[in-house]
Amino acid sequence: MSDEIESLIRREYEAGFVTNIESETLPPGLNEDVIRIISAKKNEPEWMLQWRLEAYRKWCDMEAPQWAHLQHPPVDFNAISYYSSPKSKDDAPKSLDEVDPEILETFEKLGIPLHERAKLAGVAVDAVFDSVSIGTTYKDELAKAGVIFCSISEAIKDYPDLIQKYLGSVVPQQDNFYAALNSAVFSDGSFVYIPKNTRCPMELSTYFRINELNTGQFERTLIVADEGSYVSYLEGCTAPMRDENQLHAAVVELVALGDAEIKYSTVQNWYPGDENGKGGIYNFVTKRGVCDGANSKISWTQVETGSAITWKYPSVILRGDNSIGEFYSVALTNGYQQADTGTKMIHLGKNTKSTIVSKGISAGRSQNAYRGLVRISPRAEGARNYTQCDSLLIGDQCGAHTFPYIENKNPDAILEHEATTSKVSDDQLFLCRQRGIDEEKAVSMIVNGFCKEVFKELPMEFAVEAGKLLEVSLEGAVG
Amino acid sequence: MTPHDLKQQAQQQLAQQASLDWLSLPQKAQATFAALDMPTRKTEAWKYTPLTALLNTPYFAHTAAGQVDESAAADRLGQLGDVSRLVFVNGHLHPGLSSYSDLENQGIVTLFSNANDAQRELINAELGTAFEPQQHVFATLNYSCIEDGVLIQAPTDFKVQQPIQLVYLSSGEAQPALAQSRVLVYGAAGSSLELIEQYDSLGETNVFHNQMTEISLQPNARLTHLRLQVEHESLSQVNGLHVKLAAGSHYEQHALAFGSALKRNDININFNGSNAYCRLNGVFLSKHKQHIDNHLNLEHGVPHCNSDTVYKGFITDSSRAVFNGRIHIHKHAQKTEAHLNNKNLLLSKQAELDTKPELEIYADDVKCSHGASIGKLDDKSLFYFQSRGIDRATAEAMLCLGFVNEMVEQFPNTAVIELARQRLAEFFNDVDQLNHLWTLE
Amino acid sequence: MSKTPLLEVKDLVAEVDGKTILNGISLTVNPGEVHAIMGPNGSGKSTLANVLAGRDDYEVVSGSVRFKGQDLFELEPEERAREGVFLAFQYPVEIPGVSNMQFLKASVDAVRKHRGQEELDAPSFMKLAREHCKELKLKPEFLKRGVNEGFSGGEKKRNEILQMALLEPSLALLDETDSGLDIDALQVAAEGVNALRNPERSFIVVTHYQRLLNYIVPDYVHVLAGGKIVKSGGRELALELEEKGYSWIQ
Repeated sequence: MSDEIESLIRREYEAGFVTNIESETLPPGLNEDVIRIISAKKNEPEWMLQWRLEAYRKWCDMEAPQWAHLQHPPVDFNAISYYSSPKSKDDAPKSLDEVDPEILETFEKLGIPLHERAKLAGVAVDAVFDSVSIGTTYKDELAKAGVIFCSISEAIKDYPDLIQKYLGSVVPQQDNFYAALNSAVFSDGSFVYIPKNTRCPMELSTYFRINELNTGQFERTLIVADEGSYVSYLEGCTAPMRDENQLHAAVVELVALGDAEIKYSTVQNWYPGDENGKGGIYNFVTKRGVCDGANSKISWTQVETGSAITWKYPSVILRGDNSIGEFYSVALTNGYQQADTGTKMIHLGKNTKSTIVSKGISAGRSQNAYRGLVRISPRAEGARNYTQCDSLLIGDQCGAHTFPYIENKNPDAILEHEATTSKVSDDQLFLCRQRGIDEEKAVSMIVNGFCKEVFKELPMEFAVEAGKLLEVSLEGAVG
Repeated sequence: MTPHDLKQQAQQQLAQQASLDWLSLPQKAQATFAALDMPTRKTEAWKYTPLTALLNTPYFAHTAAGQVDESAAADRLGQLGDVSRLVFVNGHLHPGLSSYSDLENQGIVTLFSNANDAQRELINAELGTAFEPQQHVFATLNYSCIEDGVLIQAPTDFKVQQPIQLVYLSSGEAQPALAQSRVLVYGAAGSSLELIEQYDSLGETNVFHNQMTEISLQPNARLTHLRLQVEHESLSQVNGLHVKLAAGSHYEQHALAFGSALKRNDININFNGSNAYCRLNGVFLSKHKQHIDNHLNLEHGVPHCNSDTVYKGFITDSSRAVFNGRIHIHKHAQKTEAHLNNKNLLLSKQAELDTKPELEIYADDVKCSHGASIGKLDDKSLFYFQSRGIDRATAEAMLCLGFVNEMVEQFPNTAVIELARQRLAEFFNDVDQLNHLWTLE
Repeated sequence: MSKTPLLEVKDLVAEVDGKTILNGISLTVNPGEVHAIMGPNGSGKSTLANVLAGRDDYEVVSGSVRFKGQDLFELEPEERAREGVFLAFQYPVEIPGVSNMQFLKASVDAVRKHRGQEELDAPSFMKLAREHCKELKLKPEFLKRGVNEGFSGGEKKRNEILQMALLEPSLALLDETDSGLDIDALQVAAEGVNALRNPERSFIVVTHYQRLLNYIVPDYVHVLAGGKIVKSGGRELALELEEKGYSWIQ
């Protein structure tokens, strides 16, 4: 049976094409001059440059973390180019009409049409191609509601007060090695501000695409939900198939003020590498939100099927009383993929609640780890946490691991953690096959069922996509 | 140079003290100990257990047992009926308090210093093999100097009728003292044995007890292991227990442990043969400023082995407790069923509990689970008591005791349950009005 | 002969999590009477029993309850129990590690002490408990097990009756004692209750089904709907309800 599995571990990565456009790319290497060039190219104000340089200097004194259950050769940070942008007439296209048609076509192939005729109904999209945001849809409609949704580069110029107030307020420059690197060299990303008592009229979405060879992508996302507001945000990612490992080190910061709610969903499908483990994205991402005000809520939902390496822990700092943090995750690894992902729930306020549901699926020769921290501070009276981590193993060459850290300093808190590991049972498979369903379809059905609790948290369009993605990612995993 | 910390002092002293000349282990252990760094807060396995105070104390290693009040010591031993007993005081065997001549004559209990050629060979072959020295710096410290030790050997297909009671007493010394003792248990194929470990104190103590126990169960051997760590809260202790399980062997442990100035238990179970089984049942309690750290590691290295682990924690006052339970299923360990559960009662605002159950799994056809919970006393249960006329304070006390008792009442030896309850009564004496509740049948 | 009421409930309004469950209940129970409270699911009948026993999940908004002439809401749950209010739980909670015997003795001691009676010594208490066990067809080992731990549904309910027998309450609230019992277990439980009936002791029997009332015959039947008593009558009301269903009332 395991030979069969071997022979079947092949999968199609549908987003693996390369777009041929002229681009402007900095030579590989990192030093203060590179940062000055990035900042200059983006016409940034002096304070932004200084902030970047500060981060860079801190980064120089830091070391890459070694504690994760991941194995990879050290990343050569001088072999990476830190800036690449499509070469168009102007540095930043004024509207989507000015965007290179090849790029628009790229996004269309990925299922993200940007032009007016076909743009996704009810979803505003900010598309980031290599290092640069190439356009945002539905800008006018959003402006009517007072919602700011633009690239972070624009925001630095247009909303300096908000940026200076919130950038780095959740993930400080020196938070960790990759966050420091990102703070120094981030090229673009999205900025969202939802005004007080405003329900964002549509889903907001950013789509990230790495195209250029040997470039890293370092986007920075900042979402601020002012008091009583609500926003749902979606993030998707793909990259071409390349033999080299490419670095993606993003930072996402969420700020929910009193009574505000942010729902952040990710479908991550970076190129995972080929069947021999060659190539693929190294995904080192810092995502963190702070429930700053009372009764606020931050909910992370992620479906992670891509990347050669995934290192990410979307977290919530529950500072406001009665605030709520949620983390729903499906992480599927196949081939030689490695994932070390989970969350941190830091309970500071009274009656704060967190829920963690993590579903890990390991197939092929992959390694899949859940790593989580739940910390209850002495003043978090009435705090509650419920954690459920389930792992499913497909084949005998992979690994599934669970590393929860639970730290409690409050006797009034109640915490529950449960984890299970099992394989797709022969009984389940037999039942499906006896009813005429082939094995691969049966496994995909069972895996989908296994992930149901998480999928139901995704916005509808994404839930369907996630299900399909899982099916594609599992192709060849079963014997 | 006058040593000012544990490591320097130990190295200087242990190199001078004589180990048994036929043992090969001490030299190796000395070299490993010298090369290893002592753990810091950044060492993952010691993340929640600060060692600064311990490591900065130059504990003095005595070569013989000091004076001890024999009648006071005898009072601590409990009434366990017909047992063979070895009593150690601050790491040294105390012949006057011990009685094991029957089993000594049968060759079941032998001091290393009295070992015959075959036994020496066995000790050389087994000692230091149940764990990875790099991971256990205190084990290498213990083995750096082996002036003596105890070999417990259950013969092939033989059921040892008398339980063996090992008592480790600690008492005060003139200066902070290092107490080290070591026991090797070898259960030959088809043998059966009951071991009772009792760690107890004669009042306040400034001893650092660094204990090593290695257990090797051959095919189909059985060991029932009861463990009471009920010392005075001034004690510091690092306790390594490393078990190797051959095919079809059966290891069952029941433990009760109190916190102390520092207490660290490393329990390391290695499944080396298929169809072996391990059950770990434990309850730990900490109060005042005590600290207790339980590190359990189950290495499922081969297929068809099962393990069940249940550990409960009771944490109050300003104490701190740590639980780390790891299940590691190796690549070929198919058909493993391993379950681990850690339930805790945290009762004070100044107390802290850190729990970390871990699963590391490299085989697919397995059933594994772990659970951890931390909570306060259950409101529904409290109401049930109150609705029967029982006041809240008594209800809380009864629920606390019930929480602990649920584990203790499973001990497969009623005399040990009795002893455990006596110590629990002492423990709870200054916690609440819990004492009398133990007396009811 | 006019009696002093044992229990007087007046215009009782109670809520859970801001939701009104009891919406103005009035009920008078005299010594020796058996009252059945019936009603569809969610009508508030279990809430009434729990409010009277003092469970703090429920908030009393208004109204009054006098028990033996004193304000019941002034009393903590254990004080109510000692005064003679007994709740037989619908779902008795499991308490591992605390033996049934330990629990029963602590309870009986507390209640006896309150009544100015002497504490029973361990042997005589044990003897008494064993006798009651026998009547309820419970094996003596039952007393050594953890409170309700691993008990079957029938054993849990019989354990409640056992406690009632030992505590000798003046008002027993039976909260759906019949739920989850087969007919044999139901008979045993009902016999246990009937054995405790006397001219001084009153019962409030909360049930969804009429069948329990075949065995524990009530003096009065009240039908609860939407948090109010919508109809009261004698035993025949229960039979009528069974025939016509709750929709007949609403």
